[in-house]
Amino acid sequence: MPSSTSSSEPPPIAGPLDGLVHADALAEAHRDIPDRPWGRIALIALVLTLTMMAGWEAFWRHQGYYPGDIKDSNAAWAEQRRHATGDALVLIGTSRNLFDVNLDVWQQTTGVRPVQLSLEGTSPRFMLQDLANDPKFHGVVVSDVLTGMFFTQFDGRGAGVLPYYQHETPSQRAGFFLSILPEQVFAYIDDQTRLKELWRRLVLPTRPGQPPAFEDPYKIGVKQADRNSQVWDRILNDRPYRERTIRIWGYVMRPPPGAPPPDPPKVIAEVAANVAKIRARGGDVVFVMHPQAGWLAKEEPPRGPFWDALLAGSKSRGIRYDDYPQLQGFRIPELSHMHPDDAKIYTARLAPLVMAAHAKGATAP
Amino acid sequence: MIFNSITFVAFFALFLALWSLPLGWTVKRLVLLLASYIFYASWSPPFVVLLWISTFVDYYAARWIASEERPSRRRIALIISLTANLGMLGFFKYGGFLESNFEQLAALAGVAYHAPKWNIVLPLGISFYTFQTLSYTLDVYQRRIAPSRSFLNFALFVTFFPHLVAGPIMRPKDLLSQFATPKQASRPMLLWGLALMTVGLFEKIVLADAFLSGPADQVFKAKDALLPLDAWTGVLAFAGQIFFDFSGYTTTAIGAALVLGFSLPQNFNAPYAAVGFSDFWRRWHISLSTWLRDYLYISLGGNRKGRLRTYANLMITMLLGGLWHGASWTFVVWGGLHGLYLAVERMLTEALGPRPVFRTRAFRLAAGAVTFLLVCVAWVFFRAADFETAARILASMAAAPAKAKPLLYLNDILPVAAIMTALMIGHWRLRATSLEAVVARTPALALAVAWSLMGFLILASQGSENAFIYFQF
Repeated sequence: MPSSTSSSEPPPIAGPLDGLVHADALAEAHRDIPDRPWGRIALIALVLTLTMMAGWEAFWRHQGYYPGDIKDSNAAWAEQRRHATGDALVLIGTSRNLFDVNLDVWQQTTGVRPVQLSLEGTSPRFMLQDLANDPKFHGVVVSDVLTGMFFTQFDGRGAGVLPYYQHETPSQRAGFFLSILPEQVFAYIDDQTRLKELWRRLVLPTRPGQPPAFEDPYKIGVKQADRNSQVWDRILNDRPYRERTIRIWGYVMRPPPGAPPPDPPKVIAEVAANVAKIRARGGDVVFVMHPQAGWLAKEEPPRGPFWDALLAGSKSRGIRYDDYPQLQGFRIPELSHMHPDDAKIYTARLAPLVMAAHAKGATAP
Repeated sequence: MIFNSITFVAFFALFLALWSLPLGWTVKRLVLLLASYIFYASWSPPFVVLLWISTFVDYYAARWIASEERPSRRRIALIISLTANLGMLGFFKYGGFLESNFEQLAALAGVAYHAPKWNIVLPLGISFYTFQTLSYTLDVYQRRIAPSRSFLNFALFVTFFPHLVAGPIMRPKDLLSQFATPKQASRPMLLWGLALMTVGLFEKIVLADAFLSGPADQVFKAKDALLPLDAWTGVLAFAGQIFFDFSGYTTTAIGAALVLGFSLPQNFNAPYAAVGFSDFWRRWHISLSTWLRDYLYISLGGNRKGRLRTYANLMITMLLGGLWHGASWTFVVWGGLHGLYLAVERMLTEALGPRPVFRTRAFRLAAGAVTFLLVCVAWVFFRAADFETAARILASMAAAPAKAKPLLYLNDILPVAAIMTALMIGHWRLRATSLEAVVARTPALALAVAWSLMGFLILASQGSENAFIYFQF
């Protein structure tokens, strides 16, 4: 069997090869190819797949999904985390910071586009610690305080995003950018429409002695590639869907039975240490409490041992919605997150207050 | 880069376009080599150096071995190759394991020794490509083949991207010679390759990741006592997950290679329809089991040195096979269990001799069921993070502990039951035939519908970010 070695390759070796066959000249392995009309089969398969995909896409568009809503993956967060460097203005916190703050409006108002690192159902404390330990960061952190989550270690997505960011491979990073194009074309690409998720949601009988399966809120927001987010239209327009979300807040936003009580002094000490690290490099931290409605507002813990103690303990300034008339009176359809139109107005009023608080610097000891 | 990622789709499409250009074979091989390095570097660029070391050392060690007549010199060249390959594997894969065991031994001796934390990342696929290059040097040393005359062909043998990170573990006879002559897939080859890639991705994305990994994870991460139904469902889910995950990888690899015009060997052959454990190892991870047989078991003397040595050799081979999978005692126990199964099977076969009842359908089905059951018991050690977890799950499989509560919901249990039933039926049907033979007699329309359904379900599952389980080995 001929070998196509190039002239630059080493010459054949002299030695006791005893007539052995060179590795490149062994009989070649061949796999069987089933004798079928593959061209016709592939064509029919392609047409059927495209037909099914067209139906699938149409179905999800009918359900209110639309192209351009980018998945909030670990990769999307990691990409923004890379922008949280130098003197960047960084938003950390829960879904309220995510949906109530409009990045476009903030930029128009202040001239600075914030980096959005807030995550649904996640205490911002791990993000604050990560930024505090990053020597390249000396910017401004705007952290929301949702008392229940802030003062407990409600880790949410924290255990996923940070390790991902720290160990992201070049292939995964490329995958994030490559996935933006199909997500801008197809509405069906969404975490909520995965087969696995759809099957998980199917209501089947429970086994004897088994509690009902945990229900989590379905989709509540839509996002752009830079994680600029807003509440999804269906929350606004579909009453049963909205009421289901409110019902789920009933147990997601309250401490689970048997949970240890929060320990504000311990949390405040941890936060104060991280705030001090950021300030030591010339940065700053401003705390924000966004509006809430209904029973969520009524059940807000007393401000003294939590909010006030946090500001005092960390020598920080804070903007709390109920201290400012201009930050009240907005529509909050499912009691926790603001109507997208109102979020724009709210952001335009909030951003100058935050920047003014930052300009004043740390409070006196 | 993992096959179930959009990055691979873009990479493969771009590479296929380049591969189709009317370029000379040497240029094409260089492009293939470069693409393979990019494929590997896309996970961690610095570790490409390890591939280069493996390639250079083994290429020149083999040439030295072949050109030497003096046994001592040949041995030195072989030792250089073994040291380089096993040294890299040992350092990256087993360093932390050795260190923690040393710490524990020191503690037993009353010495409080605390080694610095072992923070070395395991290079992707290192167990695969080190075994592959070792097989080349050993073949040359044992005068099975003469070394390759082409460095480029050898570099491609080591680095060819479809099999690089999770096998099949290629032998020179399987692949090296295929780089000697120009390759371009025919239309049936290309389309069958694409169909196989669809099957492989369907196995991984839809079956392993979407429906089996969840119940397996829940059960193996549970801290409380489990009911037998939960424990069995979790173990069966893992048995299915590990098969579909690994078979999915190799089927995609075989398909990708075919699309480029290359043939990779089969790595699985209906393993859950195995009757007995020697049969199981002829069907499961075939490229590893034949490697261990040819280079370890036979080198230890195989069955040529008496009964006792045969059993010892079997056990050593399977214990090391277990350790190859992961640096943990749970993997060693998994390998040890398989060694024990093989030894007992051999003893029974010798004691009972051939009997007509062994050839009856009922006996084969019963023996197949026992084989599968014991394989599942061994999987518990393979999947469990520690012996405590393994013991808890095995106890729960045997009987309901007093305080156990239901863990899995019907949404978890029903897919496991359906998929595992289909898998067992499929394996028994494929036991004495091949996928290719079945496809060859299936109506074209049925093939098209099956292909499109798999394609649709893959797209509707929207892929996953989960790496293949065997990447970590």
